[in-house]
Amino acid sequence: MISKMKKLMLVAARGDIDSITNDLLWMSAVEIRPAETEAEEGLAVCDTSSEIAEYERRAAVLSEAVDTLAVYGSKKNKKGGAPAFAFAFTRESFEELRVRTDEALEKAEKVRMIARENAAYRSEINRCDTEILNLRPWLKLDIPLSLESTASTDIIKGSLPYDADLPGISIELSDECEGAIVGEVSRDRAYIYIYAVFLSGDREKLTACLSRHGFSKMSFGQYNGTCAEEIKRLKEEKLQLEAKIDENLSKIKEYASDRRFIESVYDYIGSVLEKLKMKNQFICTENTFILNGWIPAEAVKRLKDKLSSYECYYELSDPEEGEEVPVMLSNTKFASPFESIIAMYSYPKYGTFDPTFIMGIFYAVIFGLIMQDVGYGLLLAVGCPLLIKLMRPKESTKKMLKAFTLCGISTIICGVLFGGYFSDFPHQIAVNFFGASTDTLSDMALLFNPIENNMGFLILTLAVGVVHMVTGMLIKAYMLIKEGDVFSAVFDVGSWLVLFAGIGCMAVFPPIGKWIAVIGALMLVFTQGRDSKSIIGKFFKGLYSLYNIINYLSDLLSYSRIFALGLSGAIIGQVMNILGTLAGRNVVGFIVLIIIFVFGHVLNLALSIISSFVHTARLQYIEFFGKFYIDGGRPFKPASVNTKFSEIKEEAKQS
Amino acid sequence: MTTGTIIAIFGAAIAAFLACMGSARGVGIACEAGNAVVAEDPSKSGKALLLEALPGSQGIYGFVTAFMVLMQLGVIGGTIAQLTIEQGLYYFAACLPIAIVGYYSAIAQGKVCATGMNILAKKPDDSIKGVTAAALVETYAIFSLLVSLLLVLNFPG
Repeated sequence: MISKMKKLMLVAARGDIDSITNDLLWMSAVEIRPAETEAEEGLAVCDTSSEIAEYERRAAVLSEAVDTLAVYGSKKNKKGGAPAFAFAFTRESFEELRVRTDEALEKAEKVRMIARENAAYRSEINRCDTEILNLRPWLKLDIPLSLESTASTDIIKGSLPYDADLPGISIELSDECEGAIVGEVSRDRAYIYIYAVFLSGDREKLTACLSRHGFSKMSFGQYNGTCAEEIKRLKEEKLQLEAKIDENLSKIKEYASDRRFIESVYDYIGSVLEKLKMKNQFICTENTFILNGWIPAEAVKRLKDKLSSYECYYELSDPEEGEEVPVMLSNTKFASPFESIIAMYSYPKYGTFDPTFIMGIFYAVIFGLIMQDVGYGLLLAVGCPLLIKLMRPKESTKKMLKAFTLCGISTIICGVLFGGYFSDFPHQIAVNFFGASTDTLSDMALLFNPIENNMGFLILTLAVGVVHMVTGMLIKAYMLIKEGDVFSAVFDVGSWLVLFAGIGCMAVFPPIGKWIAVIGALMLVFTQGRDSKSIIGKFFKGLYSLYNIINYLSDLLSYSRIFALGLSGAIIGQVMNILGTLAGRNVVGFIVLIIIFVFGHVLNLALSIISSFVHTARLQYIEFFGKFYIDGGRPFKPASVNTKFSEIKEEAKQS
Repeated sequence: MTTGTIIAIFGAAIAAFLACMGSARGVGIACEAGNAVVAEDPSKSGKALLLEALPGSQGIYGFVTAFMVLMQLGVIGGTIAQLTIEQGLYYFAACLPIAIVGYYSAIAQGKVCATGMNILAKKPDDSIKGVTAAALVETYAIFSLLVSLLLVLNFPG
């Protein structure tokens, strides 16, 4: 059901702004609308943007600290640490975090400083690493690296390309500059590292000669020792830096026990931010403030109770025609998980029909028909609640998992009907391990086995399609009647149903069925062209509407995907079972069976889940929704305490 | 072994190798795109893996079809059937849908998955929509697998 929405306009004393905002936040039932600033004297939006910026900065500090602690702080310090900080809060205990905000910020700031210091140390270590890498080729050179000249000779160092002809260059050099020596220090894949010693006066001649061979000079002005000494020094420096990092890490670990605390305060700051953002949309005068918002009709009583303790004036009115009203779906416990499937498409427009419950039933049934396996169904029905328990997923994921749990139950039922127990696992074991004959083995299916009875299964899936589509059309008729347009309901939807009923009847009892179908067709021809102006236009448009039968047919055939997916899933499972039992009834065979069984069925389950999920959704969105659904509703997002790390006890949220 | 049997085995072979080749290319295309996303943000590797694995299913379908044919021929666990040429051609034809559609749909799906990586990179919360799109391509591989399997399983003898 789509909840009725009321427009709320509230005027209260400026002094109460904080406590009213807070109460509304905890009520989680009011969506604040941006103020429509009127150009009147003395009316202005309550500007809280500077406060918002400040609190966002604080939130950033806290979240950086949390990230650091998540990586480096050990998860629990079991011995002697402070007791773990509360995870679930009531409204009171959550608001008490206010007085501890500064404490948390101080700690977070410290963690952040340490983390930044470590980042700086790490880049220093990187620098050392690069320097060591650059120096390594010169390790064999046992003169100080910075030495570039002696009393009468100069030394230069540098690299030549790896394919340079060093002996040749050496001869060439000694021809040009008397007494010059070239020596190789080391070489790697790209370069030969050389030094050259020569008389001070020959520098230009020598460099010119070397340059011809691709020489590039390297200078090591900053290193005073020999290469080996320098590398040793750098390594020591690195060790010191690493020690500092370790020291810092152990400091961070001391804060590990504060992680929960900092996370909670982060959540608290988040709620403060939410309040500031609410206020940012209020209109303020000197002594009062005005607030506009949306509230679901069922929450009005709670609102009145809340506001009775304030001196204030408020007005609740129905939305005006053409106004964009946010949509809140309220459904039973069974149906609400399927709201996630609706949300993936689009919410229905306000004031139209919420199909969640009906769609939920079809979703579960079609999903089950595609999977049709007791084993897979059990895995889903047990696995999804387990995931919810262990992972504490966010609300939307939780809903999806709950929907999958229900689909799992439907899968189990279909599995019993069609005899899927990890496909035909019991059958293969009985035949291949215990020599049961294929014929005498009683069929495991309660209804029939789709692999043996293809046609039966195809007809069943198409029948499901017919029910699904007719339901969609009936919803359309219901919507039209609710709008008071009975004529359209009877002739736009009803005549199609009559036509279908006739076609259906023809299969059983042709003489009567034929005439029912003709009546349906005539109803269409006579009414579907009623928008046209001329008689001829009316006739041809009416006639043309019969062409839509093609669309209905293609929609119907689309349901054969249930057949295809269901059957191929069952057969893939069967192949895995045959493969598993190939090795025979012995120890090796048993091990092979386990490996192939687990691997094969996990693979098949994964494939089946994806295809069941996607194709079932598609059948809802296109074939079902196409008949009646009016999309484009904006989901209702009430201001509320949204926590990232902590849990707020359910009763606190409602109070 | 008769010529017919050999033709049937040829059918099984092309079902397996064409579909697997398609999957190899499809997964390759998806992985190339996926690695770029993971390089930026390694925490997305899980979701990237889902998209990368999707074009792999055609290979499985080809394998399943080939396996069913080999089972029926008695190549696996039994005595090899002696087929006439017509019977061999029947199996060969039965293998064609998944072989050819498997090949092309895996590549097409790989491309969809590669663009799905963009969704993963820019709007990670919506990445499931990329999976949904890729699964639509899968439909046709499943239909062709079904045709192949129905033909193989309902071999008139």
